[in-house]
Amino acid sequence: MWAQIVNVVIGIWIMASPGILNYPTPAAADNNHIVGPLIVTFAFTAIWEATRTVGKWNIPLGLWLIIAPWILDFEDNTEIVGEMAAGIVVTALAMVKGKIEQRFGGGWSSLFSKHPEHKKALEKGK
Amino acid sequence: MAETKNEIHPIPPGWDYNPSSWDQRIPIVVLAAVGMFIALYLGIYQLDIITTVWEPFFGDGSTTILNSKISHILPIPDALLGAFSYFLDVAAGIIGGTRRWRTMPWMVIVFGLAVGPLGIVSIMLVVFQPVLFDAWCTLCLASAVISITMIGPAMDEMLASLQYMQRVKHSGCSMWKAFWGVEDVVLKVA
Repeated sequence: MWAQIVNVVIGIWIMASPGILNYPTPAAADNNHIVGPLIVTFAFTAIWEATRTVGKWNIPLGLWLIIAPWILDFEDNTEIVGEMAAGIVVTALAMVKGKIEQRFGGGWSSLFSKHPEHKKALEKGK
Repeated sequence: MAETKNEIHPIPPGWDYNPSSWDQRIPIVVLAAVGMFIALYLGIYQLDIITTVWEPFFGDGSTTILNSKISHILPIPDALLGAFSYFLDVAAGIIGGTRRWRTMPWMVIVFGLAVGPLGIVSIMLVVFQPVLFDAWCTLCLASAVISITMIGPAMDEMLASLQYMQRVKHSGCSMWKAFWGVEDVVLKVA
């Protein structure tokens, strides 16, 4: 859970940083205004155990932040370093699953299983 | 097999808690109600019933956003649509008893869809604000935060209903009847 909370904070930072640091590249600001809210949304939703898996959706977004400065031609070095550092941390933390203490009948993946956990639990009478 | 709906075990099989219990649902309903009042306030401004809007941080940001072309792309102002969505969340959050993940799957699924897509629309609006108009709107952001906060807590109940529908499918009973909570199917399939 802490990993997701940190990603929420980083996402807010990504969203706010162009305004706070006066990013000179318009594409960089637009990029951050789009990616930031998405990271916040996925990480925030993943705070709850039942939807923890949504946190993984931040892996492609984090990877994108690492390459975005080169594709979108960021001009400023602070911008480039900041963006890549945020990308690395977001990607790493998005992979942290954390503790799942509650049971959810096998979770979302059970919906695609032929012998889902919730059905087995029923047969065992639990 | 349960003889009546009230004999159904409230905790879904393989779960530790009941996602349809009131202590799970009331916080979401309260959040949706707060969201509804915020959206109503912004909608009243967009209808020109009130002439100013509360904006503590971003100067004329709120006025820029709330009078933008996108906010008036539909015949009624977007904040009023938001208020209606929140109302749908409140209603779909309240209706049904504490076993509704099994006795009323359609309501739980409507609830999940209302909370999920509404959350997505809120994020879109947050994204549009700075990119298109170079402005921020405090209460719009607050509304987005509320929408996003509701997604996680609402989805567990939808998961329980979808798992129930899956067991109905495996049992060979009518998924259509189970979806609408027809009693003989709901009592037959555990």
